[in-house]
Amino acid sequence: MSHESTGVDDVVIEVEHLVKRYGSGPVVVDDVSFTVRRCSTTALVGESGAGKSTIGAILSGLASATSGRAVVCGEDRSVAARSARDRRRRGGQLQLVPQDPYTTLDPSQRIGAALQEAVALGGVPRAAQEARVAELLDLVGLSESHARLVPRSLSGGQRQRVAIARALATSPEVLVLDEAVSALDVSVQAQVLNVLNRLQRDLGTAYLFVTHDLGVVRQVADDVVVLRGGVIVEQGPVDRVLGAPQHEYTRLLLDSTPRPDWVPVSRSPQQSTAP
Amino acid sequence: MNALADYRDLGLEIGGVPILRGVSFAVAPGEAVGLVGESGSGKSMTLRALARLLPDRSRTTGEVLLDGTDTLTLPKGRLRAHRRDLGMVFQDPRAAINPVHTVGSFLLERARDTGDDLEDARERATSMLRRMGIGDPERRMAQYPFELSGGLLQRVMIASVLMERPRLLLADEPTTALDVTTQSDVLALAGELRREAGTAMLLVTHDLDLANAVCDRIVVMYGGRVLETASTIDIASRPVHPYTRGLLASRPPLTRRLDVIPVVPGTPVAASATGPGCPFASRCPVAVGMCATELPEERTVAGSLVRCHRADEVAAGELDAKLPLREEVR
Repeated sequence: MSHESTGVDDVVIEVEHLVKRYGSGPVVVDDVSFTVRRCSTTALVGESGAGKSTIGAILSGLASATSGRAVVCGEDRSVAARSARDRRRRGGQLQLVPQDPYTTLDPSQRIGAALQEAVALGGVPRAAQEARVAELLDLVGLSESHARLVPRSLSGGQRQRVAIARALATSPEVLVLDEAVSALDVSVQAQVLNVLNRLQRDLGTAYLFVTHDLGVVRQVADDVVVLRGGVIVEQGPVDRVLGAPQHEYTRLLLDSTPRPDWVPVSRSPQQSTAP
Repeated sequence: MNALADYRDLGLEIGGVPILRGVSFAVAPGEAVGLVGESGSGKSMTLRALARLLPDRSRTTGEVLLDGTDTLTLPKGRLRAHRRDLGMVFQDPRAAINPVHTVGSFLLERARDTGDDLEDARERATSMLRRMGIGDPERRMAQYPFELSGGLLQRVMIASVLMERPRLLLADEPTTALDVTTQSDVLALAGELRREAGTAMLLVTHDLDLANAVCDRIVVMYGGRVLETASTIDIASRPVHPYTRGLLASRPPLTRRLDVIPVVPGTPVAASATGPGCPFASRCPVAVGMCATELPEERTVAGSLVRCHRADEVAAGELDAKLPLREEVR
């Protein structure tokens, strides 16, 4: 629904044969390829050790790839940025929203100041900065009264909205959301998911959504990449992958996800051993 | 019902800050009760009160009975024996296991203390680990906690607790930190062992679907109070409290993408931030004037024990237009 045209120009992220190995340790991302298109969401799904956060880190410039390409807006990011100017330009294309904004927000800095700093870094002239901050707060459903508060005075959901607002300050083409709603209470998680879906419709921002929660995937994703141990086991449109999964691991993930009338099932061979 | 655990009007303040108010519910022998709520609802403190594992500067009112004995007023000398009936599993197994001893040494601690036959105990431990889905228990027992993943260590914790055959298992978000496939496995295996031994369970979780899958009855908490208590079937199919309705509806469904996920506006409040009325009044889509000022009595409506001035109207479906409805029951 969100990508009628699928021309090359629409591709915001193109990951090709990406490999990541830390030193001489095991390969944590093994020959991974996928794309993210403008105004659409690709979900990276998997459990611990799937390599999903590592892929997000490479795209964000926090780690270098061992081999392969990680192209964002036409620029290969498999090598870390060399200068501050490079980093700033890349920041204008892609922003990372982490699971816990507490770790990235300065505890003593008011929300308004934090947003203004991000807006200034994005090159908005001083006279227009205040208006842009107000606009960002409005985009994520916060009011200007929140601008006067410090992070600890906000709830978890409000802090995550601030993190999203700050990531949007440079009007990036794509957000990498790394378990960005996983730590929120369900009633608040639903609010943030609705905000993200609305922002995508309004701004056309692409999302790379890293998550382990298939219910969340269903609500945000157009395409899904299922990873296990650094390897893609299945990928495709969300309706196909969640509606008619081809790989047994995808089916296992689906069967393990709590939902109405769900019953936990053991797959351990020991379960029938007599006591 | 002859209750194994019985909360009677439990109130809790920590350092003068109210945490719990008028919490009442019971757990029957062998029964599994889910204590469900979001941050600040007081669910963990409610669980901890039963073992009297409350922070310093706690002041309690009411009673928490285990087998008829009030935990809150028990002399210190008898606490240890009291806790022996309880098995406790928390979210982070690493916080509950001594990192400098092997897994085997941890599992045999109790047998060493009581002078039981160690070979016997070792055999029981191996068999228990195997039943918790650990394929090579002998090797694991020789390892140290840091050598085991979080999922394996939580299996060890649950095995160690169930080995002692407690009458009541207290589990506080025991699988929240685990991968979903491990969570499903651990819940299935632990449930099987628990039912076999007739062990009751009080499970604290934020996940209502998960609680419904493994419990017989659900207690929904919000802002330090119990808002609704009902069988899992009733909670899942026809919840009566508007908060329970919101909680169910805001869980994103697996089956279909929604244009807008139904939400409860606002954020969860702690007991200290609530007024004299219903703690949910400030977020409730169907609140009326009296909701903020007058605490609703607890009463039975459509099979649920519920605190809500508008429970009858909710149960009759008269407020459906204003209340979030879960996708799957639409």
